[in-house]
Amino acid sequence: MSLLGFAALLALPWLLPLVMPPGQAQFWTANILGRAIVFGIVAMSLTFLATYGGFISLAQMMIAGIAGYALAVCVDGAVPRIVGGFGYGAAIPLSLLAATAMGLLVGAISVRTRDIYLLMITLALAMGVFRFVETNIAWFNGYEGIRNVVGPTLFGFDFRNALVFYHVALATAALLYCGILYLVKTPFGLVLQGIRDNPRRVAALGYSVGLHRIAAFGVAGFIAGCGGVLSTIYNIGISPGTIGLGATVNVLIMSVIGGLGHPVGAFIGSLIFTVFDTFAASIYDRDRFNTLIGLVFLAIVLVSPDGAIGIGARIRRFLGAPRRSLQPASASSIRTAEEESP
Amino acid sequence: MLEVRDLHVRFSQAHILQGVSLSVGMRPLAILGRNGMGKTTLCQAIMGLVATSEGAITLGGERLNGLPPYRIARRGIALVPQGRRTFPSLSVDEHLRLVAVRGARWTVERVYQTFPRLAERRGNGGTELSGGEQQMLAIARALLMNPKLVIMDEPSEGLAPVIVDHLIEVLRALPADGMGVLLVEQNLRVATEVAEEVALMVTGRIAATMPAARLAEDQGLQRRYLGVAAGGH
Repeated sequence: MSLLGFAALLALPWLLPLVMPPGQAQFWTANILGRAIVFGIVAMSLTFLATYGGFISLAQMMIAGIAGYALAVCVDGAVPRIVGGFGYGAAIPLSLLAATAMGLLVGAISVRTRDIYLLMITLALAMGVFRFVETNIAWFNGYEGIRNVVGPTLFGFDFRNALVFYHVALATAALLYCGILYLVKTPFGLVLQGIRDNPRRVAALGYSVGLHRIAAFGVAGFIAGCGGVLSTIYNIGISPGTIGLGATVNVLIMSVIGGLGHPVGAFIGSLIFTVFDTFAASIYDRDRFNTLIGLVFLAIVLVSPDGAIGIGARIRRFLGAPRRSLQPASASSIRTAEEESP
Repeated sequence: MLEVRDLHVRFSQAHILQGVSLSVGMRPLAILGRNGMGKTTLCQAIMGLVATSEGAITLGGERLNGLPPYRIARRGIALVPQGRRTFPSLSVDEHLRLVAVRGARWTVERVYQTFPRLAERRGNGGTELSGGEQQMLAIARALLMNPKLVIMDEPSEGLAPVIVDHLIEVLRALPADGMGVLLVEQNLRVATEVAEEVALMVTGRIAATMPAARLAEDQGLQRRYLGVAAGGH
């Protein structure tokens, strides 16, 4: 089933021209699907933390930006040249390393907070980094950002080709997605879910809650970093706006409307978001298209608190097809773990 | 093995443990007492889940107080908490694999042999089980840590009598495995059938320690410390 879906996604750039004019099909491949996958990867890093650990982190877009900036700073050909001297083969692993390190750092700083306080501290870190890169000229070229990060040429295929980019993004997303599904079945993943249910109990079973939390943020940092690298290549550069408050909130919106119950929700959410973000201006008043976007999101969250994947489960239940729920836990169960009263 | 010396625990103004001393060796020890006497607090203090203000807890001569719970667990103490506390989002099998260590005395296979009911329900979630099954799961989870000492906080609470019989059987077999047992109970029958020695806890202190058989026979003692007329409830 999921293999079939993946095959369909792989073939999509050739299927789309069958149902729409070629120009429009290419627009969809590059500007809708490609973008949705890239944002989906960043959103998935948030969904991973929220679904399996119960941590809502608003720092994920910032961490993606760290990878993007690391790439832009290091790579040859970027304008302006800041460090340069690295090919993409070296700069991309370096960027992922930087994002992972930032993820670990965010995890370590926020290790003792939860719920609204975790949200605030991760938001504060994100905004701190945003303001820093916005005002720092020497390293990040300030408000302008860094341009001309064109991406590598892979086995003779140029990243600027929409098809190549789409398939690389899709393969990255699929690998990360399968990696998460595997990880949550390992003892590390089980401990993480135990922490969501009851951190004190996990500690009493001999696991350090803090170290596991930090490691989970590191994993999420790596995932967000992959999204950040792809997004920087997609945008041919990076500027502070990429990690501003708007972008940070957008990632949260994608995760929530997709559903914080399963990693696939991140991609569904990012696709819905990207479609509305792209077309709202043309189907509704140009000055007020944000109202339409907001209303759609409001409707999704009102109809189904578990997001779009919750709607799918609801429809299946309605049709009377009893099937094991997609989610290991519904979004509504991501709540404060029940504490043992002393 | 486990030594507790003059242990005090305070929650702001409330002085919950007022100088508890006890020692658990290879012979199972049961702590009995009425509600609110500090039995659960004692379990949590040993496990490092609540802070102690005075006194010492040592395991095999090594001091435990002040260590975080996960370090205490790794030193070889497992707690089966009151109310079982299984994880709602993990299945039975995932609960066991979370703690299982390859090649240890207790393995997932051995758990399934000892508790066939858990093997039947291995795919079920931690909260889809009956009370008895949850208790078996909580005990199995503790055994898989292969601890030196297992502390059980009211394992018989809320269980049907036939399940309690099974529980007694399981607990009685543990010392043969080289595992120390500290059993906290309100159920007199469970305590006296599992443990050879009982400690009676009254308002944060151990009021008396005696052979289990003596308490089982002496209704005067039972009335005085436990407020029960006959065994069990």
